[in-house]
Amino acid sequence: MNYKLLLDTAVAAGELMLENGAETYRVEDTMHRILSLSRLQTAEVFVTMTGFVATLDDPSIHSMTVVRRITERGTNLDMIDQLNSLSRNLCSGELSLEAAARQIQDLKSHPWKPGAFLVSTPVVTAAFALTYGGTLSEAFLSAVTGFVIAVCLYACRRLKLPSFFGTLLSSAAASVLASGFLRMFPFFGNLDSVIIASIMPLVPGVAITNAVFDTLHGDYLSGTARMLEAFVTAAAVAMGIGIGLGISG
Amino acid sequence: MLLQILGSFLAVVAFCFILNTPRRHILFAGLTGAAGWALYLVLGSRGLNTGVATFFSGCLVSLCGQLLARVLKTPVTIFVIPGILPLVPGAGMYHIVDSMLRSDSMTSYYVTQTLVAAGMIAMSIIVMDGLFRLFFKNHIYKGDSYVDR
Repeated sequence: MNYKLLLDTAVAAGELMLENGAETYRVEDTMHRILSLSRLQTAEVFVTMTGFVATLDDPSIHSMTVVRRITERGTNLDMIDQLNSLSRNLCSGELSLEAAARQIQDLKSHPWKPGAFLVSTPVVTAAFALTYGGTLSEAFLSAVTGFVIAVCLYACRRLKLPSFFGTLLSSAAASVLASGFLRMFPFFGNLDSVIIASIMPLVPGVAITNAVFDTLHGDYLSGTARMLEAFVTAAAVAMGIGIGLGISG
Repeated sequence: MLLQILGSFLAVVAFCFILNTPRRHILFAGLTGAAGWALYLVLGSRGLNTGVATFFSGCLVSLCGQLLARVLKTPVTIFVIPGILPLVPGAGMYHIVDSMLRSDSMTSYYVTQTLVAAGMIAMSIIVMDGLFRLFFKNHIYKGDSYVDR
């Protein structure tokens, strides 16, 4: 067996999973399964939210260790699902190592498309206005603020600003817009429901869920890190609303 | 109320596109989210407080997620992350800031409410995951597997 290719495959899979928002225990488990295919004496992985170490060792080979640092994190559940079934097929022997390595390279080269993001964020905010008992006109205004949020987030992503600023800026922009508009046309609806609906794409739902799952599987290091991420994101949203409402008086 | 449930379904489905959920799972995720929100509304109209209502609807979302994940052989988070979203206390976060700016005396109440709601989401996932691990041990892989997939 080509141990180098095996290690590279495990590393590439782990890197993609971490970057696309998989839970830490899942990454660790997947990488460990792939490395265990080598049947070498030592096949160890240690994964945290911000990077990982993987090592293969045996009396018969020179030991190999890879360290990777993960700097960018987003959420792409499709990638996690595909890597999940890929590693399952690889471990059950349905897929050869070479084919798996090629498939992972293919997945890696998939670019992130902003189109779906720009379209669906306004739908999310409009639908949330209805979810929380708002009227149709409030839903319409929420769709407009949702589009502003999507554009802000996209711009911050392109400028490679930290996600804290992206969240802060977009919630500030949304609340300035909503309160400014409702000041001019007060009959249009209630400010509370518009702002609550607009911030829903920004709230740390992913971080809370992953924090719980990581903590549950005994990965307290990542669990606390994600909890902190949730608090920081929530603080950014809250500060953004505060700034926005402050500016518009 | 029907409009609210429809709204939550649409919101969860649209959020699935942001998260890039696999196409074949989007409908199930949307139904999970709508079921959770419907239960929340029913419990709320029966006079239960936010924390308890969040807990039980979180349990429902988590239950659906765990079952679907086992049937469709995919990670639980694919259903739980979008499904839990309507329960995340965004309203509480707004009310905290709003009452701070007004400097009225409600701030600590809203802070507690928001933290309780977030904690209840966590508790509901923990409880359901624990129950499932109790009854469905190592269902797919033989050996020492503990990952639900």
